[in-house]
Amino acid sequence: MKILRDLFRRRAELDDLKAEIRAHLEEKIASLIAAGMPRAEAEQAARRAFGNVATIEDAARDVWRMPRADDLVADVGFAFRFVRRSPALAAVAVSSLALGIGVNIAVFTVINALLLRPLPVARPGALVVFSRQDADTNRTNSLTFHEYAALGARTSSFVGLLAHAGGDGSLQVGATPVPNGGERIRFARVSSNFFDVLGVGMAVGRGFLPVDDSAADPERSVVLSYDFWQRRFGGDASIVGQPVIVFRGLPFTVVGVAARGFHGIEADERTDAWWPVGTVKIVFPDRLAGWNVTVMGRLKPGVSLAQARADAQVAHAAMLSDEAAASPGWNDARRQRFLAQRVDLTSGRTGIAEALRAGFTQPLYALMASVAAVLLIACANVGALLLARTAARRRELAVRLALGSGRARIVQQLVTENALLIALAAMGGVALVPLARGTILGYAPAAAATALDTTPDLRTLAFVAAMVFTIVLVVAVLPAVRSTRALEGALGAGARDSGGARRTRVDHWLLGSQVALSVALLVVAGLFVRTLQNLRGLDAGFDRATVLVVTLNGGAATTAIARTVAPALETIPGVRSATFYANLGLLGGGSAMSDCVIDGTQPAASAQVTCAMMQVGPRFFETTSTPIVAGRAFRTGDEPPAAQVAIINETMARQYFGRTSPLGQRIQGKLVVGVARDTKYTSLREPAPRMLYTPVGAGWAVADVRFALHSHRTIAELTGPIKRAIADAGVTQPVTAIESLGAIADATLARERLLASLASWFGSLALVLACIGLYGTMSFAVARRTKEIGTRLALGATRPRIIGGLMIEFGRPVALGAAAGVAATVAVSRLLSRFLFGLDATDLTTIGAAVLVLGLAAAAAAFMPARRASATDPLIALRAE
Amino acid sequence: MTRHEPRDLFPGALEIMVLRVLQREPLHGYALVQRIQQASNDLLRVEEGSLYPALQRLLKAGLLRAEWSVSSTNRRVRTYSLTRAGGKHLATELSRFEQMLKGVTQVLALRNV
Repeated sequence: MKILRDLFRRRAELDDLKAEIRAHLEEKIASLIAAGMPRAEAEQAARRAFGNVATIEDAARDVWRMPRADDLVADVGFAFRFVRRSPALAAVAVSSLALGIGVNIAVFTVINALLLRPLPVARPGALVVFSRQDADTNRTNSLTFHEYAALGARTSSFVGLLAHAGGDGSLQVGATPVPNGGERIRFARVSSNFFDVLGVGMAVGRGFLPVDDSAADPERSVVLSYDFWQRRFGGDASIVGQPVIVFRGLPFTVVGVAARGFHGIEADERTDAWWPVGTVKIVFPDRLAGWNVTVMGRLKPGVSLAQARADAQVAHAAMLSDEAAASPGWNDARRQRFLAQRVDLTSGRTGIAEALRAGFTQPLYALMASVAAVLLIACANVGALLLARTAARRRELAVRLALGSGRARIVQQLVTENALLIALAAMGGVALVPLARGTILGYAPAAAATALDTTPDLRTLAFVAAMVFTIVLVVAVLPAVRSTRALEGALGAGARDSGGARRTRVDHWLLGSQVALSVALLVVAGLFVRTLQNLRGLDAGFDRATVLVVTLNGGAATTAIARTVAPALETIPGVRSATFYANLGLLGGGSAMSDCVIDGTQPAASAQVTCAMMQVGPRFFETTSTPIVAGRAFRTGDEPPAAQVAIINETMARQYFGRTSPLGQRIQGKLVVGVARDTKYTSLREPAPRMLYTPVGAGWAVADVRFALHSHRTIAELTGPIKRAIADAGVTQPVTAIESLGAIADATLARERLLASLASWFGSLALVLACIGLYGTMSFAVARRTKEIGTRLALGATRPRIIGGLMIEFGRPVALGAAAGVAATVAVSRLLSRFLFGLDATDLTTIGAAVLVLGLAAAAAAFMPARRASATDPLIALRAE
Repeated sequence: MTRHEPRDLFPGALEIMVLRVLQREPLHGYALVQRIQQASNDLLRVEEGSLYPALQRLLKAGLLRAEWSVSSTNRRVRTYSLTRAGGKHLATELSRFEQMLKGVTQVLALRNV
C-alpha cells in the first residue's frame, strides 16, 4: 500500500521541492542584499553556496524512485511501441495464441463440468455409485429397485443408500389436468431418504416423509427445485402444502422446495421436480420391484471404497444365490447367467451422467490433448518469432549491455514485451471461450448443453493460471534469457551471427515438432471424418429419410392410447402409414434383452440365448421400410393373447436355424411367422443383435410410447396436423418430441460428429500455424543470409538454384517432422481404433492425404520467402553491413 | 577569530541534527540551515544543497511532515516538523550516537606508552 501511496505522492513532492528550492534561494539572496551585497553578486553567491540545482533535484527525486516499478512502466511503453511498429507480427502472435488459449479453456471447462465438478452437497467425496455388470453382455446397467432394497438390508458400510430414476416428462401447474397442457421437465423418482442421504436441505417446506418406499399407498407429494419454483411460481412460499402440480394425469401436493443451487445428482441434467419412487405404483401397480434405479450410497466415516465394494459384492451375491435357490424352474444357462451378475462401486463425488460420460470421457481428453498440441504449436511459433526479433535486435541490445545496462534489466525488458503479447492473447482467448464452448456443447444433447455447469471455479482458475504461467515461461522468459546469453561480445560481430549454427538448429527443431504435431492432428482428423462418413453411409436396415417419430407419454393404458392415436395419425394427408413401439430399439436409448430359447431344446450353459425384444404395432415393417425376407409381416388377429406369433431377424435366423427355415418353429412358445431384414437396434456402430418382434397386445404399458409415421413431408409441415390429430382423437397425454428417424440416428453419432468436426478444425488450425511458423522462420533466415545469397548470385548461381537450395534445406525438417507425426499416430493407433469405424488407424489413404496436404501447404509457405531471397540484387546484398 | 574549515559530516549526522533542531521548533529549509550553523557556532556548515535530499529521505520514511505556510519575512515557505515516529527515531539515534562518540573518545584518549 505504501508503495502505491509513494507512487502518487512522488509527483506532488517534486513540484513542492522545486518551489521550495526557489524560496530558499530567494531568501538567501534577500538576506545577502540586506547585508549590503549588490543583487547580481548576491544571486551568484547564493547559487554557489547552494550547488547545482538540477543535480540536487535529481538526488531528491531519486529518494522517491522505485527502480523496478519505474523500469516496468518504461518497458510496457516500449512494448506497446513494438506492437505498433510491427503490427503484422504482433497480430499473428497474438491471434494464434488467443485461439490456442481460448479453445484450451473451453475444452477444460467442459471437462470440468462433465467429469470433475463435485456435486453441491455435503461431503460429496463420501458418495458412491452402484452399477451392475452382466456376464454375457458386458454392459454396465443400473440396478432394480428390488436390488436396492435388498442391498440396503444386507450391507453395513453405508450411512444410507438412495435410489434415483431420472426421466423426461410433462408437468402441468394447476389443480386439474388440461388436455395437451403442460411443459417439459426433467424429473426424478427417488427414495424417500434421498435428500437426507445427500445432506441437501430445503429452502421451504420439508423433504419426503421417511416411509417404506414399497408401501402400498405412496405419499402423493412432490419436491420442486429452487429454480423451477422461482421460474413457475415466482418464489411464492404459499404454494407449499397445495396440490398445484399435475403429473401423468394425477394431482400432487408440493411439500417442499430443495435448497438453492441443488439441481439433482445428474451432472448433465437439471432436475425440476422429485417424486417419491413409490409413486411408480400409482401408474404401474406391479412394476416397482423391477424398476431401474441408480443407487448411490454415502460411506460411513472411516470406511474405504474398497471395503464398501467388498461388502456390497458379498451382499449382492448372497441375494442372488437366495433367489436362484427359490427358483427351481430355471434352466442351467439362466441360473448361471443370473449368478454371474456382479455389482461394482465407483466414486459418486461428481454425480451421475452415465451415457454422456461413457461416450465422451475419452473423446474429451483426446480433444484436450489436441488443443494442447495446437497451443504448443502456437507457442513454438510465437517463441520463434520473438527469438527471431530479438536476434534482429542483437546489435541494439549489445550496445546497451556495453553501455552498462544490466543483463537482468535487458531480460526484464524483453520479458515485458513478450508478456504484453501474451496478456493481449489471453484477453482474446478468454473472449473466445463462450463461442468455443458453445461449439463443443452443440454436439451434446440439448439438455446437457444447458445443464452442464461451466461457470468458472477454483479448478478452472488454477488451470488457466498454470497454462498462462507455462506460456509465459516458454514464450517470454526462455527466449529472453537465451537471446541475451550470447550477447556479450556480439557488438563487434555486427550482423554476422556468431551463434548461427545453433540458432538454425533450434529453428529447425521447432519447425519439425510443429510439423509433426500438425501432421498427427491432420491424420486423426482424416480418420474421424472418414469414420463419420462410413457410419452415415451405413445401411441401417430401415429408411431414415421418410420416417418421422412422435413420442408421447404413455402409462397404464398404453395399448388403448396407441390404438387410438395410430389410426388418427394415418388420416393426416401425406402420411402413408403409422405404427407404434416402445422407446426401446430403432435407435432409442434403452434395450430390452430377454431369454429366447427354441421350444423343446435345452441350451448348453455357455450358449448365448438372449435376444433383443421389440413389441410393435400394426404396419411396423411397412412404415419403417424394413423388408420381410421370408414368411409374412404381422396382420390383424396376431395380437396376444389371442395368438402367439413372432418375427425374427436375419441374424437370429442364421444363428439359431442355420440353413433350415425358421418358419413354423416356436421360440418361447411363439410361432415364427416371418424373418425381417437386420436393422440397427440402439446403435449404428454395433451389428444388429438377435431380434424377436412380437405384436403389441392388450395390457401393454410403457412410460413413453413412440409412433412412427411414413411420410415424405417435413417435420415443420406435420407438427401442427400431428398435434391436432392427437387432440381430436381425445388423447390428453402430452407429445414430448417430434423428430425424424434420421435425426435420431444422427444423434447416436454425436461423439463421432464431435470428433470429426473438431479434429478437422484443429487439424486445419495446426496446419495454418505450422505454415506461418515455416514462413516466419524462413523469412528471417533468408533475411539474415542476404549477404551469402548475394555472394552466390554474384558468383553465378541461378535463381532456381537458390530457390531450390533453400527449399531443400527447409524441406528436411519438414519431412522429418511429418515422418515423426505419422509415427506418433501409428503409435497411438490402438487407442484411436476404438473410435474408428470401417477403417484402420493406419489407413494409408488417410495418412497419405494428410502428408500431401501438409507438403503442399509447406511448399507454398516456403516458396514465397525463397523467391524473395533469390530476387536479391547482389550489389545491394554485398553492400549490406 | 580564525575560521575553521567546515568538515564533512559522517553519514547520518545531518539527519540526526535536522531531527534534533526540528524537535525544538518547526522550521523551513533556509531557517534550518541557519539554525544548524548558528547552533554549532559556525563550526559546522551545512551544504545547503545536500539538505534537501536529506529532508526528502526523512519525509519518505515518515519521520517528518511538511506543510506550506507564510514565514515571518512574509514568504511562502514549507515548514517541517517532527512526527511521533521522528521523535522515537531521534531518541534511538541519539543514544546510538552517544555510544559511538564514547567509543571514539576512548580510542582517541589512548596515551602513548
